[in-house]
Amino acid sequence: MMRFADVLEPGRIRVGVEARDKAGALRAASELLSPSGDAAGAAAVEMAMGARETLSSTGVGNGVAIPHALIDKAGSLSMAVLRLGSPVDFGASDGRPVDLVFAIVGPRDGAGEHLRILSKLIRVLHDPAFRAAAREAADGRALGELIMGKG
Amino acid sequence: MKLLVFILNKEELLEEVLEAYVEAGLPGATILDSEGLGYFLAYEVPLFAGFKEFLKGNKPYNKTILSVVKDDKAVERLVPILDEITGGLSQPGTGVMFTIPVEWGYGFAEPRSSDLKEPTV
Repeated sequence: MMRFADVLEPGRIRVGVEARDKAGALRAASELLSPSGDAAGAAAVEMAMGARETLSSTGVGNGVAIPHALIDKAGSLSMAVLRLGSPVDFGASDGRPVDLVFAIVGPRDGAGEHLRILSKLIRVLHDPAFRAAAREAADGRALGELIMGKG
Repeated sequence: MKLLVFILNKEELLEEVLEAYVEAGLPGATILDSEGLGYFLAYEVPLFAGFKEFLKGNKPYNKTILSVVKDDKAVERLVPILDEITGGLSQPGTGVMFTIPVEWGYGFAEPRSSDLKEPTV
């Protein structure tokens, strides 16, 4: 069973992220998930996530989005968590603006693991109490502990 | 007594498959419309839309054929006939077949004696 600790580093959890719109939120997530740690890597992630969004919004409702992408040069499966300072329109299925962004990027040849963590994440996010706690977490560390507490 | 489950992905072969059941001495079966997990997730759940390449099945829908088998030899007779019809279930996207034990049952019609005999050519 995959654990969030396997894919989520504390440095990739941010609260109070300022983004003006969906593109800004994806850009902020991409910067945290750059495989190479540089701007070129972030741009590759941003482009792949943007392409994925053209298929359908990853705004899954209740103010949550799970943008994700498979890219050729991703070293390993990684997740970033952003709590936005102000919700942004994500084109979510329920029309609600998004303030919780759980972004995932992984290598194209690792789709199985990617699917497993994505499915686990959506299961956890179905819980209203978890979403409420994620919104109330005092800081990134508290938010990280909340997520890691889910296994 | 066993439950024979056949998930047939090549729906277009259903008629021939059912004829094979009868030929093998399995005249009773229940046929269900069914759908694979991968296809459903990739095409019906927006969050998984990016995984069509990885989750897609060969066919959007399949048929699940349930049949209670009292005569093990009927399955032995059925398999080679199905292989002939389908080209073999080892071909990806054709189907899967398995049996599971049935501990108890009620309401089954008694098989006719002709159903239990080896078919003659």
